[in-house]
Amino acid sequence: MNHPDPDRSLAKNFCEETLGMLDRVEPLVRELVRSGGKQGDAAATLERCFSLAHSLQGSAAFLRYDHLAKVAAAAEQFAAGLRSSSAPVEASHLLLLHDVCTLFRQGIELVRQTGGDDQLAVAAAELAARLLPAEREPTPGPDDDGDLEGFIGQVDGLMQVVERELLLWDLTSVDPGRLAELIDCLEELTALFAHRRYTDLERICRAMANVLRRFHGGEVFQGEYPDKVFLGLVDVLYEGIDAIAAGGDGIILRVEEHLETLQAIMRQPIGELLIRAGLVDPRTVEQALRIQEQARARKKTPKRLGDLLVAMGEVSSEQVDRAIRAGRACPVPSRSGDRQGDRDSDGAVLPVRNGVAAAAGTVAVDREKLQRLLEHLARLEKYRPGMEAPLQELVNGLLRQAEEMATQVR
Amino acid sequence: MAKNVLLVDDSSTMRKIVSRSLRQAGLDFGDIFEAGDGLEALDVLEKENVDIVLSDINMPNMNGIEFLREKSTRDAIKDIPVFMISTETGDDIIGEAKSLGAVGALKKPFTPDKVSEVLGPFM
Repeated sequence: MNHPDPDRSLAKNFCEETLGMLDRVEPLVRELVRSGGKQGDAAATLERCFSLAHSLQGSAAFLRYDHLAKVAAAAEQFAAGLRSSSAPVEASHLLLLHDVCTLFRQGIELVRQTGGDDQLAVAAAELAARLLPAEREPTPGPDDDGDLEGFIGQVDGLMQVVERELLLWDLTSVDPGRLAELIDCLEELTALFAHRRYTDLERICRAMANVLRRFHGGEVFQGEYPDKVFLGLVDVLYEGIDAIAAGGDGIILRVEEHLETLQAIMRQPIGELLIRAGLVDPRTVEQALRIQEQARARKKTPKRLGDLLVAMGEVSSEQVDRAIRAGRACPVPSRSGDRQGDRDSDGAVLPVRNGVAAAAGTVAVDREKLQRLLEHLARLEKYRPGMEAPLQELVNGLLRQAEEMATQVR
Repeated sequence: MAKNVLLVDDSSTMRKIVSRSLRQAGLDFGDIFEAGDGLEALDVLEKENVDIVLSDINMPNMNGIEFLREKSTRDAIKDIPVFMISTETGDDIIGEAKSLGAVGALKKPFTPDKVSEVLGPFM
């Protein structure tokens, strides 16, 4: 399309005007959110939200800020629906409007910093879908009873895109547009499988989309090769699809196991862990995140946040490792029931040992780190002869246990 | 003869964008006036020599529909052609605008070519 050139003065005007409107609308939305809709004039606020979305949609579409325009169009429709409805505005609606304001502000910041809103792709698609959930429905969906061939063809087409993007993970992971396309495909697959009630396949696709969305939101993968986990799931999906094509029911064996594997590749954002540990302040993390964003904008793979903070001299590698260990999921004693203990699989109460239920017979530990710990312990061996008796006894015990664990690990 | 145009939109960015599209459309436009809502637009129409109006629909104080309704009651300005500028979600309201005298509509985002196609016959 031959749009007018989005020159600097127009872009500047657009940013200033939108920020001005946001400054007027946001406090009103926030007040309604805080009071659960009890304080403030809901009707007037909705009207302002509508006007904000309307103005932003028109200008953003002309200036080719397509992701902002997409959310603005959805928000305009959403606000118009609320405005014309006789039902009271619910808290969830207000929160959505608040999210819209937040995304608009992020978008304006991106336009100012990068000259475009490409990096908003995933967040915008997600928010637009939340504003207008009906748009997520697959179109056209095959009938439940017939057109299996058409359904398989539709699914295959989407699966090919998913597989291609995962095979090109090094490119996809740093390109918000490609990542958005991948997530869109997975969401479409989710809807297609849901439509035909292939629940296992639906759950896997939804989980993949969710994990990818979290990745785009700044969370990091625990392992070095998340694409291998995803590609493993693609194989699982293909097996299920092949089974459906052959007249099967699409049930996936060990689906819970597959989902757990997927969830396990995510961990809490390292920035959050470091802030919580008091090792860095939020501003420093924001600065590092900006550096990562800039790298992505230049289509380069950014340094991992922890490595970046180490490079910035804010923390040491050891501190990052410690924070990751502390944040990693580990078994927590159940709070349900009394303090005497947890229940085993048959429901029997188990004794408490040092505050942790004895039922925790197996725990998830990092294999490599355990190996290193065992190696450190093994080094104690050569110092044992010079130790005093009580210490020697303690070391003997440690080494015996280490030997047992080492055997299991190897 | 060059035609004078009035742009009515509460967004100053939109007014600038539309103004630029008009200049790029290759039509013979003279002065381009601006108004932020229907009330301001009526004021400009009473004072200036305007040949064509391009108006948004959703505006504060007086929206595009109210503007059309009010304009149709004023003899001095009621025959000035008005084009509505709409968004995808404003389709249903265009019908109402046309019933109140709007002669056409442009859907955002439009190109200079589209401006030329729609406004050309009125030049």
